[in-house]
Amino acid sequence: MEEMMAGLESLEATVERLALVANNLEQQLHARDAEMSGRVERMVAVEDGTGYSGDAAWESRLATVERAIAELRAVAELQAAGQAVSSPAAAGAGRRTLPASTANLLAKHGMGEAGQIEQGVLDTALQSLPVEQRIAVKSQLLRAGLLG
Amino acid sequence: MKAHAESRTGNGTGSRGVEMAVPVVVGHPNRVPFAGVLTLVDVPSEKAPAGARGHRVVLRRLAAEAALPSLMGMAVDFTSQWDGHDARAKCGILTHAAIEGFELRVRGYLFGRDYPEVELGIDEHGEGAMGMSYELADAQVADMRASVWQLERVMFTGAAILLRHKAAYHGTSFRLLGEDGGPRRKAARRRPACPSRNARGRTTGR
Repeated sequence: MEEMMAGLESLEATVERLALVANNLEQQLHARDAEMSGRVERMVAVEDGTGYSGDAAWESRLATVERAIAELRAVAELQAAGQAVSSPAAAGAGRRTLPASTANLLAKHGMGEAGQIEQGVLDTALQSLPVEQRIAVKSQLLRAGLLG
Repeated sequence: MKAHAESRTGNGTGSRGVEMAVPVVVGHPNRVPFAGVLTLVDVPSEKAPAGARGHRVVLRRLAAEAALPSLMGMAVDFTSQWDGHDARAKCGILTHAAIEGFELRVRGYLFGRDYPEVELGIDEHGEGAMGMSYELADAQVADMRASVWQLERVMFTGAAILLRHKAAYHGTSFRLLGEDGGPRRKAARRRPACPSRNARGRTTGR
């Protein structure tokens, strides 16, 4: 009888342990499920990379501006390197003519092709223009050797 | 307007639909009926939708069915290039949605008088060229690490009319209907007063 009681108690303890293990497993499973699942705030069924036209337009505009900045930097570096090795006369010989629209714009702000244009003065003059136009004007001035 | 759900089992696929009651007005100048397949259910998308981080997705049937009411009254939009969504260029409204087989079919109206260029653009691209794309909010993904995401809960916030090959699902479609809901006669098409104007009144594309 005592042996039987001891066996039952042992069985009961085993069942309790198993229940505990099962409970732990269940909790781990739920935690794993929660970790794996996720929520996406917004999704549109167009090929990735297209998405919202507004986003695409801004990204395209940003890419254009970034390209223009990179070009300007490259031009500026080249010019700095050129000025370091050549005389002012030689630099002047390489000048090109400004487009009429740029010349008119500069003339409107009291700046001409007569000489070098200060960066600060130019920035003030171009304040009212959109960033792309500002970059374009500066780029033309750099190419013409007029921007100091 | 009242929204209600109804069950249809006539085609043997156990389809289920919702519709928004809109009073019939004969000869309404600003209503151009349309029908389309917005998306497919229980079928992986051909391409990864925008927002799905490069994963193709499966919209589960139960999730789509549960979300059908959220489509009612939502707008359809378009872009000038017919290649995506512009949530602020709303050119029509969805009034019916049903799942039939693997297709989530929708019907509604375009604002034909307000957006004549939409009707014209759809005609110009030719029959079968246009498709649709859904816009979802709060999509619940079963396993973010799976190569194909299973969407198990979604909320529809709108739809776009676009070129079918630009859609993540190539099985979508869009067509304009006649006033009676049948095939449309092109002769009755309204000519736009200003064909180049887009939804925001701009004269060029974005």
